[in-house]
This record gives sequence, C-alpha cells and structure tokens, in this order.
Amino acid sequence: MADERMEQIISKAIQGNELPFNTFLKETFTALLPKLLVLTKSRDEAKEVFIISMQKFWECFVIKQQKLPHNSIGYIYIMCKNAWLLQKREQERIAVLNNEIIHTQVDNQINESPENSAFDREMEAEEHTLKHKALTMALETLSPKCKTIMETDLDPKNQLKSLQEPLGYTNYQALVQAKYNCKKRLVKKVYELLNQLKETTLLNR
Amino acid sequence: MDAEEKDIALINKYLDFQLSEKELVSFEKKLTTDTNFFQKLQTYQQSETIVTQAFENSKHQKRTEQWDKILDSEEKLEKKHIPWRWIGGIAAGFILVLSIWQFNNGQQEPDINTRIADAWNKKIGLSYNIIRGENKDSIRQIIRSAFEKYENGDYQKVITKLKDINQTQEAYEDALLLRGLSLYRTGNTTAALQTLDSLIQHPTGRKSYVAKWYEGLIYLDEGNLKAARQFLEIPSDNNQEIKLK
Repeated sequence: MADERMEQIISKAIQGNELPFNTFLKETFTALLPKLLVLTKSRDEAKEVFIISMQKFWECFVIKQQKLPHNSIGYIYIMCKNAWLLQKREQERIAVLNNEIIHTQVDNQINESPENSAFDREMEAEEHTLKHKALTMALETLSPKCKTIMETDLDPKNQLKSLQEPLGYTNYQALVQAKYNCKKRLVKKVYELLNQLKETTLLNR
Repeated sequence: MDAEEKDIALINKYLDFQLSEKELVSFEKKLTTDTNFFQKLQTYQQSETIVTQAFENSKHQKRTEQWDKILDSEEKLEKKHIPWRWIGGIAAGFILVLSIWQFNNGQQEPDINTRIADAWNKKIGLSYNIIRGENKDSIRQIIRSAFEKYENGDYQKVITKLKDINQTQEAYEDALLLRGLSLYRTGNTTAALQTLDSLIQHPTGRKSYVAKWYEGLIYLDEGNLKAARQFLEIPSDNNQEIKLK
C-alpha cells in the first residue's frame, strides 16, 4: 500500500468521507484472511478480531492522527494478533472464573448456609459501589473543558458538535481528538482511585 | 517516567494492540511471572470497562455494524464468483453478437467515453440560468453570474468570484459546487475533490447527491473506475446510462 494513497484515505476519513477507508477495509481483510484463519480457525472469529483491530487503527490514525506506519497492512496484522491474544486470554480467564463459580455453587449446595449467600451479595454490592465511586470521583478531577465534553457526551439531547465553537476548537476533528484524550485521562484516574479505594476497604475490614 | 507510569504505558500499548511481536512475547511472559503486574492489567481493564460502559460510543457501535455488513457482503460476492473461463467465454460470445449487430445496423455503440461525456452534459444540479429578477449584488445573482462564466469556460474567474462566500451565507453550497467544478477544469483535481468532499459532508446535505455525482464523474475522467464506483452505477451495457448510486 503506497504511503500517499494511505495518507489520502486517512485524510478523507478525517474530513468525514469514510468511503475510501471502507474500500481499504475490504481489501485488507481479503489480504489478511488466510493469515488470520491460522490463528482463529473460523472466518467469523477472524472478522471479529479484524474489526476490533480496525477500530483501534481508526482511533490511532483518524482520531489521534498519529504518523502512519511504513506498511499499514503489516501493522494491522500485528494489531490483529494482539487482539486475538487478548481475546484468548479473556476467554481463558472467563473459563477459569466459570469453573470457580461452578465449584463454589457445588460447595454451597453441600455446605449450604444463608450467611455465605448474603456475604456474596454484600461483596457484589460493595464492588459495584466502589466502581461507581471511583468513576464519580475521577470525573471531578477532570479539567473544566474535559468535564464539559464528557458530560455532554452523556446527555442524549446534546450533540458533541455543539461544543466546538464554545470550547474554541478550530474544527470538529480537534474536538473528537480532545474527547478521546479526556477519556484516556479518565480511565487512568479511575484506575488510580480504584486501587486507593480497594486498599482503604481492605484496611477498614 | 517511574516504574508505575512505565507499567501503565505498557498496559496501554497492549490494550491498544500496539505491541510488536517481540514485545507481545515479553508481555505475556511478564504476566505469568509478575503477579503484581498481572493485577495492574486486570484493574486497568476494569477501569476501561467502567468508562466505556458509562460513555457508550454510538458512533463506534455504528461503525462496527457498518463494517460487519461490508465484510459480510464481500463474503457473499466471493461465494457468487464464477470461474474466469466462463466469464471469458460469455464475454467473447457477447462481443461476437454485438459485432454482428453493429455490422447489420451500421451503427457505432457509445463507448464509455461517450457515456461519460453524456453524463457531464446533463449538467445535473446546475440549473442556475433560471435565476431571475434578483438584485445584482444578491448572493443568488452572484451565483448566476458565476455559472455564466463557468459555461463560457472562464473557470479562474469563477474561482476568484466565489472564494469569499462563507458558510453562513445562503447558497454557500452552490458556490462550493461551482468552485469545485471550476477547480477541476483548471487542472486542480485534488482541490476539486476536496471541495466536493466538503460539500458531501455539509450539514444541510442539500447538494450532497450532486457533489457525489460530480466526484464520481471526475474519478471516471481520471480512469479510476474503482473510486468512481463508490458514487456511481456504471452498467457494463454501453447502452445504459451512468447513474448515481
């Protein structure tokens, strides 16, 4: 894939014309499918992994407008491999978790006690409260601009585009980029607060 | 960058699928040998999920659905694939029949260039000659005057005349259309396509179909059939007209 053609595709996508990108998507999937099938064994799984990777590709090069790699198709293949590994790890984790749940359920049936069930429910509620608290506190730490962007995004009646002029962005793409960066900052803050809150909860037990 | 920040940067790279093959191997090894790092990954993934669920991205979801349909339709096309020798045979037979018909009728069929010329000559969306009775300084008269210059081949004058019309003015889309076409006529294809792209994306959408029509025709002129087919239906039967998709 010539650099110039790829740059044009990304440039058009940034301007809102996604058609050339969709053509590139089809061509790349056709080119990579044999390699992806070696990993996933099924076309549907290969398609899923490919789409997840292309969403990240979109984030990096259309939203964040990072410098394009020398070989976009090769780069996307590596992204797909990353995505497949992450998916595999998640599936294994869920399988282990499901096994644990089944064993716990069997144990509970044998050693049935109302206190165990109540304790489990309490733990779940506590986990839910922690997550909600971490998110609320993290939102408060954002800059006023970021907070406005994230709050507008939550409100279905408001459109993000309406913030472009009031917040002083030269174009809509810059605003989309800012929203992406705010989200990343929010995730990091939630992570820090979750750790702090979990430690505090453990200490208070 | 301290150790914690380095770990978070690495986790971010992993979750953004940006690790190289070598880095992936090293990352997977770290997960199995460093339980603290494994815990960090789990908490970070949890944080991402909390934020993603709270701020569901409908555009992201729509894009996923759209791409899913595109790749599914591509699969259906592949399944309908006819072996090349059949296509060759059918094409040869068709050409033979056509040649006999042409010989018998003594007529030349319109080729693709004729069809493209016919499509341009339709002047779709360019009915500015019907603008009447407006004050000569009104925006609509300016558009009409620009159109007359376009018809006379004074493309540079059209570009100059319309360059100061801004988004807030009525008939901005008409100005964009005439500028785009004039840019193409003066050989500035890239600027022409960019102008027509912005017209396609304009919020009112009033001239978006017309812009797609001309963008398709420009690609056809350039010989880029693939790009043209994004906007136009180009029947293989030379007797059929080119149409907007």
